[in-house]
Amino acid sequence: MTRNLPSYLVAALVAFCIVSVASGRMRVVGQNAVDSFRCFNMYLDFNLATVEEDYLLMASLAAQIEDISGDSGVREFSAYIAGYSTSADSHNRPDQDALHWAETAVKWLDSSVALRNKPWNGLQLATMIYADRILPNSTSRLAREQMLNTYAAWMASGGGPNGANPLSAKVYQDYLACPPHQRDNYILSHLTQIMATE
Amino acid sequence: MLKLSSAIFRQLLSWPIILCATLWLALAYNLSFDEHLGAASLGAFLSYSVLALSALIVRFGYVLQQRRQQGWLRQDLLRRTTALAAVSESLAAVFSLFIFIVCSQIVVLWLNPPLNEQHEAHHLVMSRVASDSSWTFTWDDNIPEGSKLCLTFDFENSPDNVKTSSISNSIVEETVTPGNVFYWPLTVDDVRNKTITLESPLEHNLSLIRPLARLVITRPPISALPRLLLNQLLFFFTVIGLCLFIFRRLKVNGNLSSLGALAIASLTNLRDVQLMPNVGALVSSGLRYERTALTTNDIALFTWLGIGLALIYFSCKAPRADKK
Repeated sequence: MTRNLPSYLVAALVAFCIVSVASGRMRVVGQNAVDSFRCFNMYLDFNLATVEEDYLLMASLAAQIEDISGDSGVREFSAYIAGYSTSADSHNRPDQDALHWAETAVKWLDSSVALRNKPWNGLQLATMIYADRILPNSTSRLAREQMLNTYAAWMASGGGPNGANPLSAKVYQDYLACPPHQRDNYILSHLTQIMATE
Repeated sequence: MLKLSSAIFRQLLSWPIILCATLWLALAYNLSFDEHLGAASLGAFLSYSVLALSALIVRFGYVLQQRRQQGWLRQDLLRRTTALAAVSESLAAVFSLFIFIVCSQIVVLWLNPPLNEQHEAHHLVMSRVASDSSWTFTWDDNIPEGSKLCLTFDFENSPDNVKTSSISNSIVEETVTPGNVFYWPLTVDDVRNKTITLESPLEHNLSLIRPLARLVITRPPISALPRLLLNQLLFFFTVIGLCLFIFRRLKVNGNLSSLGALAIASLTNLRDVQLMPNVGALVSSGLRYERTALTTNDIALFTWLGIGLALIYFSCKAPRADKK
């Protein structure tokens, strides 16, 4: 027994590490390789789900990819495909179906603002989905409020670090120059302009 | 000693092992830098490299066990080279890891794969409102120097005449413009303290959009690869020492010794408890590696290497039982 004591101790240490890894208290040396490989495979599955238009699977994979790699783009892409792109007139989608997926897509985006590494593009996308896909088919006052708040936050950030330019800062400054009761109208007219241009 | 080392080295890196390592390197390169599906991240490649080095440590334990079963220790004793035998074992192990690292480096630097175009990564940061006009930011990891906070301020409730405002800590003041993301560069002290409190003039009535607060960390360029891989070698040097110590002094099975050594080394990553020197960043890898890469401080590093040297020294001393 005494002779084997060191072996038992080392075995107990290995067991402790396994338990700690399982409970998430520790990352064992080399564990990141498993995550990198999982992420690679999830990108493959995500591409497949995109082709098959399996939006729920796309969103689930996007959340996992984002968790491992910090890539927010996949979540925004899945929201764009589910809630915006495939609702275009050319897709001949039933209105109720389009509305359902548009609402689901903004839920994905709104619920993950604080978790996405780069939330800025998603704010703009959520605004566009509200303005172009939800509000024309819904009278929800809450949706309108959400859209205004989301767009105001996006303007305050100037479109985020990559989109920062004097023009977007100017838009926010013009917005602030309006009296508070006219600010909502400013956003609405600005969005109308953008959508007309696009 | 050199002859012994080269013999162990050949045993460690036999042809099948060399073939496996080559295949692993090719696979790691493709998985990390594939044009369409790879993350185009050095971190992914580093993570595969760490796994290969861990596998080499396991192989080292297996070879040690084989040598014990073959009676090499007894023969070494008869030649009165026990101490040198132990050193030659560690030399061979370090050299085999070194060879793998050099090959990895040559492959990546030679093929020069395209990396993620964005040279800055954004990470979450915890923020809380300290008072009406001040906010405290905290983060867990040792982040690299040169990192900055990326903040968005809401001016909606500011007085009409406020066109710009300012953000300050107790020492520095910076201007913040509405409609622009505001960057606050973190000083060495901020990075060390893992917290910072910023405030704005109370009368300006700014509010921070907390869900949009982020840490911006610059990704190491491809030219940093040699240093990142060298860090891995330094980390595994002490793992080799641990493995030898457990095997020779505690007389544990070689395979179990290598697993034990890796387990002890993994304790550097244990959350909330600091059992080992803080050297986990030496093997920072994975798709978010930039958050901790190249942040190991010199004291922790030299303590870790010192532990490694001490373990190798103690494992070199001939065990009493073998002296009969």
